[in-house]
Amino acid sequence: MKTVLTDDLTLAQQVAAGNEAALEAFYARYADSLFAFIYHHLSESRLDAEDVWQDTLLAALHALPAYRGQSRLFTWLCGVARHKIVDHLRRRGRGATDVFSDVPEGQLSTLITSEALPEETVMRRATRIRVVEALGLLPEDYQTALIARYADERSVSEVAQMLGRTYKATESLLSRARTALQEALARLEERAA
Amino acid sequence: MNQDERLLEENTARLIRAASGTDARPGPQTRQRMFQILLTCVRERSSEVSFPDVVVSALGGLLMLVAIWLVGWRTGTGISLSTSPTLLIPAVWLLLNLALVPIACIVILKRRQGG
Repeated sequence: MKTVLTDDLTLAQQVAAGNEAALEAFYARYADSLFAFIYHHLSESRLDAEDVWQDTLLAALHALPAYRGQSRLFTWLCGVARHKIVDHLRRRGRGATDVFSDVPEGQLSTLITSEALPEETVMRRATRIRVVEALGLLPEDYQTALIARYADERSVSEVAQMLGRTYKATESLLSRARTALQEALARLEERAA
Repeated sequence: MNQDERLLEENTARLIRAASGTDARPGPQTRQRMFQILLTCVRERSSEVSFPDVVVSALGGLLMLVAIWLVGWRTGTGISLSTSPTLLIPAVWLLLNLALVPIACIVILKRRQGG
């Protein structure tokens, strides 16, 4: 029997019921990650990514009543996005095989603490997609902290101010978030194996 | 910070920068526009006229009563439906409602499928 993820399910049900505050939370939580997921799949074409992102969010909004909470909401959204990416590539006369067959080199979750990752590995499309997927599986505060600190290159003090936490608490949050990201990568690798 | 933690932080930073940098995020205007589109969809859906269960039950019950009454009248009196306006009007109303049932079914199914 599969576990039902009640937080994700509650959010999905509230959005499906027309709760605007829930829609705002849903959007803040998933919109950017979903865009990154699509953007990397479409080889960094912004215009294409915007089209597919829009289609995906609208389709997801209509299909949310069908979400049963048996996978993480972000995983479910990635599933919707995959369909839209395939449709888009088909319309463009391109096959989708290469887009979904690419897998990251080696076990990122192990390599991440054992060596400085080669630039080639970091920049590989499959690696970036997996990292986006893993980020989407993290609790919201972990995701926000990691992106603010490392993608936006804010200082720990700035992140602390942004999150309304003390410097020490933010350092500790970032440390837990890094470990959680490593664990999420491991779970995705397990699932893909 | 030990060696593992230092590597974890450095690699995490590089991976996140590559995966979720500003290039891989929608622009502020696109982001705002998309949110407005979704908000409009949600509002439109919420403003759709709902059809409470009580109303559906009452309509079904009324249709059944009219049908029973018509059949009873016809059987009891032997008068043709087409010759009496008292019977003709309820009969037309009944038939019209029955004819709309398949259309209502299609609308309900389309809404359930999110279309």
